[in-house]
Amino acid sequence: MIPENVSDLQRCLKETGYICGEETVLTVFLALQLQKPLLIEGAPGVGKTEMGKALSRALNMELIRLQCYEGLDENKALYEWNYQKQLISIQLSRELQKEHLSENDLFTEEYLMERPLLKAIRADQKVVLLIDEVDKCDHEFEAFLFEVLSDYQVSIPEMGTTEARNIPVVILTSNSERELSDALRRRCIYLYLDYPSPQREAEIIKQRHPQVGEELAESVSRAVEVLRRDEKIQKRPSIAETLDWVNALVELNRNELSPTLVENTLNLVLKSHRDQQVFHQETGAHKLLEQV
Amino acid sequence: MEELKDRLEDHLVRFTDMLRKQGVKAGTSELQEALLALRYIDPLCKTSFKSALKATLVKKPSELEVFEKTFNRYFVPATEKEKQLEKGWEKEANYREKKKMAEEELKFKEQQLNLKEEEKMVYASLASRDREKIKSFIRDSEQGKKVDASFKPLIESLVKSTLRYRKERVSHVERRPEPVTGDPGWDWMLSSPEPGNNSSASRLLNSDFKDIAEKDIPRVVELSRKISMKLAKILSRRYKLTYKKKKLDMRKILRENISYGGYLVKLKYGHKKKKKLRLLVLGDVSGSMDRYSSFVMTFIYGLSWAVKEVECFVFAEGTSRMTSCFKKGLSFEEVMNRVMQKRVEWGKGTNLAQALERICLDYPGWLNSRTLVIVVSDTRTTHLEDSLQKLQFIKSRVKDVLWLNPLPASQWEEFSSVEKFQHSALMYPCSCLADLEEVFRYNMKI
Repeated sequence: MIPENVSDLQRCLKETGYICGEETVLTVFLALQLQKPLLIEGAPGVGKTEMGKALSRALNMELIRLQCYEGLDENKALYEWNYQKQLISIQLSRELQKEHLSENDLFTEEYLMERPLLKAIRADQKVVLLIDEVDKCDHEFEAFLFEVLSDYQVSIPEMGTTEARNIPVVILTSNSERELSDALRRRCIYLYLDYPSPQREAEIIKQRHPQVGEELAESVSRAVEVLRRDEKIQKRPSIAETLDWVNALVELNRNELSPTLVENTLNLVLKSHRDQQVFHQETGAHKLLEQV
Repeated sequence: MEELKDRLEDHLVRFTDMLRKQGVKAGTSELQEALLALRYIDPLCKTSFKSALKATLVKKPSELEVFEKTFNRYFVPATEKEKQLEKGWEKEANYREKKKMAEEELKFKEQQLNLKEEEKMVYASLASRDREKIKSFIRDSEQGKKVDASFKPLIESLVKSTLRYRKERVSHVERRPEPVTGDPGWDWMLSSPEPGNNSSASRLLNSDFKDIAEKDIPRVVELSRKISMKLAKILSRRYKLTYKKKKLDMRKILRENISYGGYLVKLKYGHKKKKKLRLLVLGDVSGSMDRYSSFVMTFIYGLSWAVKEVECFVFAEGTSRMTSCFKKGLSFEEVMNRVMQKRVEWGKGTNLAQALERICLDYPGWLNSRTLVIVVSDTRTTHLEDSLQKLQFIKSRVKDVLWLNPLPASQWEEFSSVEKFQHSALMYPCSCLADLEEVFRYNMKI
């Protein structure tokens, strides 16, 4: 169930392995209390999607995920009739010379295929609805979406209006590749997630890899921060990449960073040839470790 | 307690109004939401209070900085706020004094010269020796034989050109902040940069290209690269086709529905093949325009990663083709340097007509519905009528003409040429990277 105060929520999130600042938790807490969708924006890899997953674990609710893409329409997001099943029923009724099927018989629960939005609205228990990368869907779908999100009800012409049994916890994420409409924004509580501070990232590392020493966790997080600060690097390392790097170091049984080790494992955090070249030309492993 | 609540509400209304005046889209519903959110937190804890307001009043990353700045100045102890406001008022008084000094000193035959506020401030920023030169020029002109008040426009024009020349050499010209709150003290306070945030990316994003210091140019070029590459990445993505506004394709429908025994269950739609866009850029490089054109061209170099066909020209009194500067594999710094080096070849005057003429004669193949023409200019050109006619001709043949005007929109009405060119082009104020990004996002439907 929904925690009663911010520190409870922070504790619940931490238990699921999601470590974040007080401001982030407070914003999530307000979204939960005000029963408003939470719109999370930020660079790729800062933990936007993970927030939805962590929240479902922390609140012990089912996670329903809708992945957005260009061309996504109501049929794939809300509901669709199972045409094949309807056809088979019609054919069977003819073949077996049963009573003639009326239209009402064909548009019932039996033939309705729930898609994520309808599933979230009709769920018996409160669920977490994660609408991922909402900036990828097109304007028409976005307009449709904010209607659903403001009233938490949908109309199925053949069956009537369905109201939400339990208002879901809605998390929308966006990479800001396309500007979202003001109408959608104003219906949400807004959270901008930035990369974590080196201290927080070290905490995340220790949470995920308890066997990692404090010194290694801190030096890795500071090294990643130096790379992220470098404006010439195009693809900044995400938290997941930091964890991959640590994982590799653990596998290699290393408990401190050395220039050779950095050189040999750099491809785990810098994932383009250009970025690696920039790193070698501008910084280099020795200089990086001096700054750590 | 009730009184405290009322006061908090009053402050919140005033604070929201200030945000609104600075462009943050916080409406009544956001304000109500903020008040509601305060019920769930301890309003006496500043961090929680700030986070609650941020979560409910801010809706975009671009609004975060305005929020931070306004919050840090508004929600401070009363004595500190008064001190800051006093400073703001001091600045305002100082500004007014300088303006008054310029108005009093720049008179011809006892009549004030008709100068813009910026020109008056350029005059006030000059060293006393330079100011004396201008004053003595006016005095000497007054002494001439048969010189009467009708000479005033001529003197004005000469003083204006002197100030324009001097402006390039003055390190800093004071500018009054845009009136946003209605209280000059607050306006000055909000316009001062946040401590420790002097070279933030957002400051550079919003800095006028001509005001960017030499030392900041590499950072701006880097920011420009990032933004244009991001836009290029989105442009180059092959999106899945949507089912909207398309015609039914019967052939595809029949084939798709064979498996359903001929029942038309699934519909299939035809689509037109999208034609690839081409960019034709014309950059004005006369006088102070060269900086704007250089930055725009470097930005477009980034887009050329996704838009394969780009032709770039610069014009002043003559026209040169710049596409050769856009060689693949060059870094943004190299492109910027190449473009900047070409500056020496460019003259001082502007003749858009001859540039348009050259496009029509030498590149007729580019004048079709695939081409988007981008003009970077402040609209000040010789042969205005000729330019208008040629632009109209080009507009009738191409997809569209975008005009990026570095002049602020508030000054457009001062120039008749702006209005005339607006009939043939979609004109946007564009003097910084943020403007550039917005124009391209909007017009290329990114």
